[in-house]
Amino acid sequence: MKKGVLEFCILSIIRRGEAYPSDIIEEMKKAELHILEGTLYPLLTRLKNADLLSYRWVESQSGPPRKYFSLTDKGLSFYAELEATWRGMAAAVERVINTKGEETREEGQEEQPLTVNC
Amino acid sequence: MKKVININFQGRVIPIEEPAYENLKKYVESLRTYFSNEEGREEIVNDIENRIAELFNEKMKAGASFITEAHVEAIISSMGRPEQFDELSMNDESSSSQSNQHERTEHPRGNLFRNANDKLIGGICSGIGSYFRVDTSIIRVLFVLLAFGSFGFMFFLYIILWAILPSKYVAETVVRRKLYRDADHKVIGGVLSGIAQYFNIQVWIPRLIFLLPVLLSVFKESFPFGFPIFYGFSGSLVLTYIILWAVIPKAVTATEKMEMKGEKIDLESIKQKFQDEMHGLKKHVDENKDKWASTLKSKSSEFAQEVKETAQPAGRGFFRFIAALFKVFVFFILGVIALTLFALGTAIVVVGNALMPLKDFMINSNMIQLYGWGTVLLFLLLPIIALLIYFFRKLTGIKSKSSWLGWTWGALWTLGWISVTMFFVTVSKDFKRSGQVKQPVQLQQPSTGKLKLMFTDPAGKYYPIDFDFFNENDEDLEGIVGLRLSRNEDSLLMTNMRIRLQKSNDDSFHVSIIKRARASSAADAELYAEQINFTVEQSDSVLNLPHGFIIDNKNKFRNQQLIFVVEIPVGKEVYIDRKASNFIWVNFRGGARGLSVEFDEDYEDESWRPGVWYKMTENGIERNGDALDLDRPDRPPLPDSPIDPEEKIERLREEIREKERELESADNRINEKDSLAEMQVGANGYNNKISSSQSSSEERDRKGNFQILFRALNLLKLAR
Repeated sequence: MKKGVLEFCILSIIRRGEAYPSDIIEEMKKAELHILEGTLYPLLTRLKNADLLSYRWVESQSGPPRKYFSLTDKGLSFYAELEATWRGMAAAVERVINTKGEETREEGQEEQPLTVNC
Repeated sequence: MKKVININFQGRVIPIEEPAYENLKKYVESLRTYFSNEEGREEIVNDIENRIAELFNEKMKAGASFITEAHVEAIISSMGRPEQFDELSMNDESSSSQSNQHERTEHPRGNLFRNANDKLIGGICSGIGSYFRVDTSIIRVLFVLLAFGSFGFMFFLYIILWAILPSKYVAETVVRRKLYRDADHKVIGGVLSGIAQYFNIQVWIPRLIFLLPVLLSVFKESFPFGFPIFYGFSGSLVLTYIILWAVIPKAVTATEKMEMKGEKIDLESIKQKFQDEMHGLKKHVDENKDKWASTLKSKSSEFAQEVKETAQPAGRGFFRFIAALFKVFVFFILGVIALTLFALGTAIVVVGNALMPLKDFMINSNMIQLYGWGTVLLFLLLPIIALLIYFFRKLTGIKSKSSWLGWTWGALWTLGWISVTMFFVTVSKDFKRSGQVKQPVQLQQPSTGKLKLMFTDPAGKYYPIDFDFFNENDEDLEGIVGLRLSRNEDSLLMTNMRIRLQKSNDDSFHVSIIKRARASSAADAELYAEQINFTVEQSDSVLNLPHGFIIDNKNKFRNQQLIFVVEIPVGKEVYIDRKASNFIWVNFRGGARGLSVEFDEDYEDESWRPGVWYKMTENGIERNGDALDLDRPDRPPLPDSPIDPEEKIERLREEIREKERELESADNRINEKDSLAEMQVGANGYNNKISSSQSSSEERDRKGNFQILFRALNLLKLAR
């Protein structure tokens, strides 16, 4: 389940602005989501290979050049889908755990069932 | 202080401690392996390296003069090791294998079941193995071994378990160290190698244990108190080997090979394993090349190699099975041959040792001596030693280090062949020509008109040549018939003689000696012949002849022969002493066609036998029965009737049988004392008869007969 969630989080960080791996890890840490660099890099590469991300090299005075990632258009629309899915699932889970009895179940049947791929 | 080296990392020169660099390299390697299936592997690894370089830069900026092990360790920890990646990873394959790994070590015991995944027949042994956390192969082997001794009980047990136990599909049977066949270190099928690996012992130990009953079964005749177990063992051992071959799987993949040895399975050790394999393969090819080049040992190793080669490419299990079977038999037979050779070698040494003193008499030049030694050592013993070493090597798995060793063996053996040839050539030269001298013997005509030939042992002590080291008993010392050696081993007593009986042309006895010898020329041969020392003594009607003639080691053995010719006038008698049956007849003939040796131990003339009196008639020698042999009074003389001794024995036997029948019928009435008394009387009657006839010399014949009969009867009565 975490699989899709991770990608979602990363895409959202990059959406906010061009970022390079270290930055991303810092932000995740701030949000109490700990991820290893070794996990991040392959992930970024995969996303890049799926044309959801693009990068550019930025020279740095203090050390080797860095890759800065940004979302492509495809990435943007993919992100939108992911967000919709996430919000939908979150709402559904909320409803389930806040159930008040029979009336809630009837209510729930009107909703469109969500298929969640994790 | 650790050595600091400069590396070029991501386009920058970085000073770093050598061990730190090693760790870095290993880490990058591990990443490469981990991402080996990823499409963007290179890019990922590059990105990571880039990040590491950045971190190095930071450290240097912060004041470090070089990167230390601690730095590298910290960086690796923050980057994360491949094993840790899957905590939050999206990689399906890696996550499933990871969970398997966990299962592998933490799988709960559960109930006893049949393992449907890992089954050979019904998966029972696999299930048992899983339950007890013991390797499946071990369980199978135990099962098979028990099955051998249990007369079908295990078979039934198996069927019962099959019916009772539920079957389950388990991803992997839980075990740490598995029993595999070690295909890399195999002689036949790698069965024993695998066993050695599992128990962590040297390879030759299980091999020796396995072969010991086989070897002993060949020796079984040497053990008088019997090792019947071993004899039965060897056959079933071969069968056991074949079954083990079929049951224990071969370690093919790197993982399996490490499981076999019990090594920790991780990325690094797998990589190490592959490197080792590549090196080992190259070494293997080199060694085989050397082996093929050597001549002497290449025969059997080539053969084994061929079988191996044909067996390997044909991946089909059945064909390989047949090949393995074949190889087992071949090695078994080769083993038997090796043992026979060993026994042969020992025998040669023993016999050679015994014949050592004779050497002085044969060898009359240094050349022959050289050839003789060359023959024994190079021709006879060398192949035996070489083959034994070959088998020893095969057994212990030691590879031959150089190819020239095989060439050396071959060259030495060729020298041996040359030695043999030269030996025979030179020896035969000395026996090419024969020479003969005839000397008449002064004879006084015996007063009785009978001539008796007796044999006396010549002065001095002569001992038989002894082969039997273990037999302390003097009686059994026979040695070579007709040859005796003096105490100081410088002279030899030979009874290489014949006696010829001929009709005399006149009224008197004539005696002459024919001496013969051989040498490289006829003249020399005559000389040697003349030197044969043989003196005859006469005391009236008795001629005392020495029982053989003496050769000393200065004169050497020249195939000296002696023929004693006795011409007997018609009407006169002659007697030859029984000792004449000890004569031998040796003929060494050399020449262009080579050396031929004849050795006749029981020489006997057709017309007469020793120990019997003969009379010369117009037509030749005829047996004379009248005269008694005065020298041997205890022996009953031959009967007057012209019946053969054999017939006489037959007649006596018939009489005994008759008496037996009488006794049998009498036995039926044994309760009645009359019959017993009758028998007693009858027996006494015989006794009386015997005692009454004791005086008469005529009755002495019958006495002999009745004595035999009475003894037989006694035996029969006792038997009752």
